[in-house]
Amino acid sequence: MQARKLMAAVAATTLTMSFAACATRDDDAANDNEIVIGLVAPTSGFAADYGPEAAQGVELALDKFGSEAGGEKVSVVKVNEDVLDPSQTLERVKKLVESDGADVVVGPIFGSSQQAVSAYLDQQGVPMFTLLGGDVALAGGDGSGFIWPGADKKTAAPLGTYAAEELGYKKIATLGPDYAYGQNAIAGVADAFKSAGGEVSQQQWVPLGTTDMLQYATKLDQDVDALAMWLVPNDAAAFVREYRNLGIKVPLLMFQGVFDPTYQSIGDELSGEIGLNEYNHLLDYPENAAFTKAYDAKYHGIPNQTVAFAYTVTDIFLTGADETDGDTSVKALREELDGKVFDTVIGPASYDADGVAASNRTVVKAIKDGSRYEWEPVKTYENVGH
Amino acid sequence: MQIIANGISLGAVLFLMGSGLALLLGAMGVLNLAHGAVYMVGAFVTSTLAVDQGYPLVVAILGAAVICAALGLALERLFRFIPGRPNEQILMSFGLIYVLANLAQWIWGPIAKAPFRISWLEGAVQIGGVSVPANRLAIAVVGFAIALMLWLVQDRTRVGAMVRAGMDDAEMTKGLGINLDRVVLAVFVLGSAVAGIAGGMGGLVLGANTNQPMEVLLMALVVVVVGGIGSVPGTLVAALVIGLLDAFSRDRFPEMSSVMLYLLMAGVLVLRPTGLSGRTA
Repeated sequence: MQARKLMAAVAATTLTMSFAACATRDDDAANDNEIVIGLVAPTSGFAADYGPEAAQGVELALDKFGSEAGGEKVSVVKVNEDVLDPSQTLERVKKLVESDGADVVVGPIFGSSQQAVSAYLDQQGVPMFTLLGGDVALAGGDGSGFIWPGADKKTAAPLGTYAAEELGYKKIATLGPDYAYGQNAIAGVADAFKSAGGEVSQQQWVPLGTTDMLQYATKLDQDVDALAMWLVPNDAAAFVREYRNLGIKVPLLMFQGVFDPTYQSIGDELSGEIGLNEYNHLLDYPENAAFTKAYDAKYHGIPNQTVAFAYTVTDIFLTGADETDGDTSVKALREELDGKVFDTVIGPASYDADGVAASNRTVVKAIKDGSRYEWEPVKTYENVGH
Repeated sequence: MQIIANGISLGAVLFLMGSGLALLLGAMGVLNLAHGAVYMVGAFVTSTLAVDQGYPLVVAILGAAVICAALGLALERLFRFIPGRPNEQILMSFGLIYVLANLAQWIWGPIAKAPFRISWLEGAVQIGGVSVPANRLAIAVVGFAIALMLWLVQDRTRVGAMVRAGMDDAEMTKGLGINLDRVVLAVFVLGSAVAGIAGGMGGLVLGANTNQPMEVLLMALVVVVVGGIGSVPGTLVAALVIGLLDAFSRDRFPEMSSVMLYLLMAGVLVLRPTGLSGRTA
């Protein structure tokens, strides 16, 4: 009897989780004189930070355009991306398009979600502007994807190149999350490192939803020059805590570093480590200065990458929609954006004819500047992503 | 040896997560699905007191235990509105997960708290040539201390005898003049206090975030299913078995590690539906 009750509870848990997240609409239903942006990013679970941060970026871009583009009013509908169940994300995106009238999707964040929704969006002709990477297969041909800031397998490659050519490392281990984006990003580092003559002696993959990082630290092959890793911020913090507690001295090569605000809570544990940023608030570009100023005025603080890239892709989409007089079809946007160079928060960037972006990457070093921990730019690699 | 050390330390965390739920289930005969949310409150309170305000960890965890005990008291009052209706109780406690998670998000914000950093628990201890992080060792010590305390209370005290009697036959126990409602209240408060301590200690390696109610609930359910209902030794053995299995599978079969726990749970349900302790409610 008790076993039945428990099983019923587990079933109830699963069902209720399925219904837990629901879309919230910022405005009335879309119409022909309105452009509706559907923001798809997680607002619950281990990656819950992404949703609110991406929403801030989209809002800032709308502020820049006065919530108008191509003579049409622009509104936003936000949807929770279920990172553990892509089929749920697909159902929410269907509602987003069919009931809420979304003309464009910004997001999803995770590769598994992107894979789940892309075929539907291709069929509907609704463009999908990713903001934290994506597989190139989602773009080009009949694909609806616009991949920012570049192809997953290319975006982290400069970290491997830098490790081999500038730091002189001969052998590294890797650690990354066991899903599409993580595998692609780490593969980019590993392939670039091997191309430069290095050896990758160990690769560890962390299953989605893993919370205990101790075993990945204890199992590390310490006979390497460095550990190249990427994990979402809270998992990275948990791993670094175990790493330091165990007294492991192997240098870290951290793709994307660790985002704020998590970085501020573990900064002293990362002092001197090398990272690779796609975005960094210290980057010396006019658009970044304007963006960080606008962010501070509205949200009082320093933006992180998620905010910056949600802002950037929404900015680019609205620029494109403005030029096409409100035509938000994939075809019109592809033609409009192809080869056009935008001044962005990470410097000059462009989309190719397939909708894959190329942009700058910056090798950074973890330092303390006053009371803040920063990733200090060290070297820039240009036109990365195609 | 390192795998065994990792497994035992994870098992201690799992025991702290699951023990309160197992006790409540045994004493009340109904699942309090909000148990994970109580754990989360304990984690956030400890984070606030120990990390943000700088109170000693022991004080912070005691604070978390008191607040969670008070929360347990409130939850028990709510359960009394729907006595003897397990389906409604399950649904209500499930709803409470969202209420508490959203309240936590409102109070502490949506950004996850990194694992708590306590200066005197940094570093590792060498035991038999194996490195065991000091914070893990502390969790294991607290976990086993609580296991011992709960076992003594349950098996060696008059209150424990009342709890066991209530688990075996509630009507007969009431018929003997025992105020079972008061016993249930005491168990609810105790179980919630343990959840608060679990949140505080677990936060040393897991931090605090608003997704923990679900994560902890699922892990605690697995522990309870494997260990059996209302048995402290059963819960402890189950937590250690699960911790060791998880550590072993992540080392040897990393691709299969996520499903191993659930395979174990399914196997126990098939072969021994009452769990390792063999006790029925």
